[in-house]
Amino acid sequence: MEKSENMSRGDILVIKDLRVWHPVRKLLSIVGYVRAVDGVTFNIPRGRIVAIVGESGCGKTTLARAIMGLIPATSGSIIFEGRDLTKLPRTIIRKWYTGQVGLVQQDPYAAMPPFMTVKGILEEPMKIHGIPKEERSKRVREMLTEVGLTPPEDFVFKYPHMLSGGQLQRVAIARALILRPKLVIADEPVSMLDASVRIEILTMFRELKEKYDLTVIYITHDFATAKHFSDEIMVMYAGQIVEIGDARDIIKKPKHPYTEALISVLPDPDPQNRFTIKKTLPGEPPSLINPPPGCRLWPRCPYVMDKCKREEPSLIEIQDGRKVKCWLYA
Amino acid sequence: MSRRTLILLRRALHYKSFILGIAILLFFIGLSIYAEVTWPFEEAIVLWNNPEAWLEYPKFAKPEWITVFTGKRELRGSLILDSRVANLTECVVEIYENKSLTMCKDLYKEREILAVGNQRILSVITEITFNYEYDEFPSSGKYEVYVNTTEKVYVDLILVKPNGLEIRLEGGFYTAGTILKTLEVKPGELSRIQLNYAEVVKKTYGVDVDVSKIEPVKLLFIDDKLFIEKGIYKPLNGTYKLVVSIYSTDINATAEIRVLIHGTIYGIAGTDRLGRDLFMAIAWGAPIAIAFGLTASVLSTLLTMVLAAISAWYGGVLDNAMARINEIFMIIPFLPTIIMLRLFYGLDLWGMLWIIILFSVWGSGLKTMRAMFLQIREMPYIEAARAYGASSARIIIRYMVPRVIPVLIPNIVIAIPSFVFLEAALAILGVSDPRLITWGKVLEDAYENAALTQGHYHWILGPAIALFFMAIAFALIGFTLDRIFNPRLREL
Amino acid sequence: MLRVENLRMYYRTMSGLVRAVEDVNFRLREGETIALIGESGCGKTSLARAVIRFLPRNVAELSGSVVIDGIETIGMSDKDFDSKIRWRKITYVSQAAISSLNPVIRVVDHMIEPLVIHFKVPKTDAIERAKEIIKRVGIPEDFLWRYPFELSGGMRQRVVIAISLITNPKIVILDEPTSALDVMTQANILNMLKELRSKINLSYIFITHDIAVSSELADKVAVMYAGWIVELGPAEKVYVDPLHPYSKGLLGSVPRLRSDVPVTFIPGTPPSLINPPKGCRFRPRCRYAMPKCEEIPPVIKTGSEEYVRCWLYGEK
Repeated sequence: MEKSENMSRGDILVIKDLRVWHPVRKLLSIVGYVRAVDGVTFNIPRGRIVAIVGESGCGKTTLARAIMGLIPATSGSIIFEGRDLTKLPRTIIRKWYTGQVGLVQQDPYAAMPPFMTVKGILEEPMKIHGIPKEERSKRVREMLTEVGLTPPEDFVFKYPHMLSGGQLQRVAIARALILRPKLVIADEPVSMLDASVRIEILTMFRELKEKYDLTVIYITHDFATAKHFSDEIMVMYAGQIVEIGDARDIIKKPKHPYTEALISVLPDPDPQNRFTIKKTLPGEPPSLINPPPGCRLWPRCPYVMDKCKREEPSLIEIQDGRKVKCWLYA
Repeated sequence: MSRRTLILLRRALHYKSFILGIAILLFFIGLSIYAEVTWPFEEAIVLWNNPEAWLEYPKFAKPEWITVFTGKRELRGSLILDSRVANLTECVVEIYENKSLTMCKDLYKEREILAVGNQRILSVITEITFNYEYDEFPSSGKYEVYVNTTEKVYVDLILVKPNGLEIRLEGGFYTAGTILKTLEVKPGELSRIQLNYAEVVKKTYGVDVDVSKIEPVKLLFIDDKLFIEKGIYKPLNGTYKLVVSIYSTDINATAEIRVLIHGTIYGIAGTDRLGRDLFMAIAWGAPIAIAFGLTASVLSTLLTMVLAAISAWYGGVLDNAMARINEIFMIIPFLPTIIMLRLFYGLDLWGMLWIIILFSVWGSGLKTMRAMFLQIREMPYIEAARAYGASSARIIIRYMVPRVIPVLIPNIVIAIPSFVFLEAALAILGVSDPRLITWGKVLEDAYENAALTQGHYHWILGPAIALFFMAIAFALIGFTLDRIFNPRLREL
Repeated sequence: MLRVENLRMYYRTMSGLVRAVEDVNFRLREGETIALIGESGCGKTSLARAVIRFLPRNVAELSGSVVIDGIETIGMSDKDFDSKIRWRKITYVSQAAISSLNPVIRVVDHMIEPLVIHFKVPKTDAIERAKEIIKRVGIPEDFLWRYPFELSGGMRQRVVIAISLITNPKIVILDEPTSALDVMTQANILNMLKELRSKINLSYIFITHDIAVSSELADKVAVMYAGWIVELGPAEKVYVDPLHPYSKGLLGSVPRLRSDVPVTFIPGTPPSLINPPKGCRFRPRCRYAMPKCEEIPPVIKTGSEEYVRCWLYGEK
């Protein structure tokens, strides 16, 4: 039911075979590439919260930066509302696209210019996008109220260092939403916050998403919050998306060996945990400069087959809405 | 912003070092205002560069306050013995037969027309009395003879010492014009005074004295007995009388004599080789030093910042090009270049300022600041700004620059004295403004004239102390600002 | 093994007296692990530092009793503490330990340092001991001769733990040992810590803000809030059925992977430790707050070594 509604509203963002390679330089020549994002294809349906989950160094932040237009894509396309960003001139991206997409970053302290007041911070995007003065102060008050910093008068003249992490992250969310974007990319927005504040912020975020009809890409390493606060989860490993599926479904029945292993080692608060030894994958994620041939997980995979070492599996849909990049399901 | 500044200022006032620094700086500012009020800028420059204007001042005079320590009585400034009536209201003028008598406090003038044969001759005899009650000899002396007639005028100048000894300073014919004669004598020569003194001593005491080793001006004031009997040089205190006799065939002639006896102390800072008041140089040096140091420091730091920000933000080819230019500037030797430019183009202080700024912009400061900007560039809030569409210029000006301001402001303040010192150092090397009065130029002049070996310590001490205190003032303020802007240092 | 009674640690700052740890009581037996959980700034680390005497310079008050292996350490001189307790009985793995490894000093030199400096063990013996310990934390022996910059984050964390074990202490304080690590590495480290405990009968004081992770090691759980232990009890009780409203809220805010219990949060923010609220420190955020809560709640024993600090359990 919900699905058909999504279908009718279409995808807000389509990513096709996106690659972001950072050159590795030695003296003046390029000696290799860090394949931070390497052949990623997915689409984000309008109005949903999609979590991209992966360990540090898996390329999820690079992916987010590429979608934000902050770094150029090496190849592939990023199609937002029917326009391919990789082909748009820089000025159009700056004038149009940056108003359509909001960004919430991980460290709320570092994400705020320390020398600006909350008012200044919130007005900056609007000044850049030419919103008149009266409208600006109206929106600042409105947004501060929306993110629960009430009364706004108490906050407008504060500097970032006068606020707590939770409060700052609310300001960051307000800033991301103040241009009324359609898409918000939240890169680990709560990982620096305490458990309770984390839930508070995420809950608020979900409410705002409904209210402002947003689509959210939630980038995190935390399956537990991804499960509770997103509709769909994409699992990333070594620069590639290895599994896509419904949030609860993917946690209940992970298909990809990597997803399975990750979820199996994640604890819930349970007194029995202390008596069990967790089964972990051996080794560490591969270098992104020289990834292994074939499937990138094979050196660590418990189900490794010969085929895995030779050929790279493709991301295939194995059931409604569930895609896995693994030979086990091909 | 202004509220923030106020808060910072209030915090700064908790530091004694800041208050002290500000106090010294305020003193210099007060001195600058005093200088401008007393000798307006253009006037001051003309005055300073015109030796004629300083004729009445003693040369190499020490500061007056020195006598507090030595306890000696010394002649302050110059004694001016003028044959004109200085102030007529204090004098009584009488006409008696064909004589006119003018009697003032220290001056007696007798004007008479004599008949010699069929000629009438004008005779003017002026007696000027003065007291000399000092422990030191005068430093030097000179006299000026002014004659307004085309006919010859005979001028006779005699000093009568308190012990009655009469020494002739001058006796000769003058014609129209002003003639200045100094009492000094070239080495190896003997002046009229010396010869006359020896003659008079021989006549009075019957002894021969060697006067070649004593300057004429000293002979005029020497205690003759001590000198003749014991060979001790000491000034003779008491009332002296200068008798000026003028004879002319032109009975309407005027001939005036002005004798200057220069003392050994003058003013707060003493005088230099031309008798120029060093206090004036110190006072006028202050605003010039502040203006020079401040401009150089602010402009060079700001330019460095702009270049560093551009270099760090745009990176790539631009960054590389800037790095190369920087390296070139770092290896160009600064001193020879500026000396050469000064030789070819005759730079004034402000021309030098631009060259100094041009050189200061580059160098390791640029590298350090570029590194700072590189760090700031990677801050998430810059990424956030890019994400909401801020342009490069906006990011540099509104996001990166404010971040370095707290580091910059103390540095600007701390760097000011180094530019003031640089000016002084260049002046000593002969690279200085031809007209302006700077501390450096005074030092250079002193250095050129071997002030230290000649014992004219005050000549160097005054400007050196001024430089020192200016450095202290800015350092104190700068370090305090650093503590306030960068509070992490406070923890250590 | 460790008995902490009425421990109190205040320190002074520019803005006032910080009541970082107040009236804390707990015991730790041999081979047992106590987890200190709570939000950041609740005093977990201050408590650990008070026990191991890594005190900030601005301590205003340190009182109560800390008995380590039968020796009272409060009132002991720093010198005595260093020679009798630190390293010998108890070691501390701080949050920053992993980044304090000097990248250009070999692993082995990091490891033998406490032995050589504090115990004057000959270097060869110390190296033998280092070989033994490094294998125990799951690193091959030849890694001793490498430099920290050559190791991954997980490896470095193991090295840091190995250093804390080299002097054969009875108690190890682990301050957020896994929070900077990835899920898989974290699981590996936790596995290793479990094995170590069963092999050499270590006691851990495990400090973490991650409640789910704390359950991986904790036999006992101390929930800290604003400088107090508001609830202390066995893992079986605290994780399953917490008593204190704060513990309930805290556990409620943990999103579960294996059940669909909705997550909740505790509204409001923790109080300042300079001006804590009158009475119960949790009162302003508590759902069950009542007039009585304006008085300091008593420590109510709910078992031999369990207690809760809440008026809800005061009227029996």
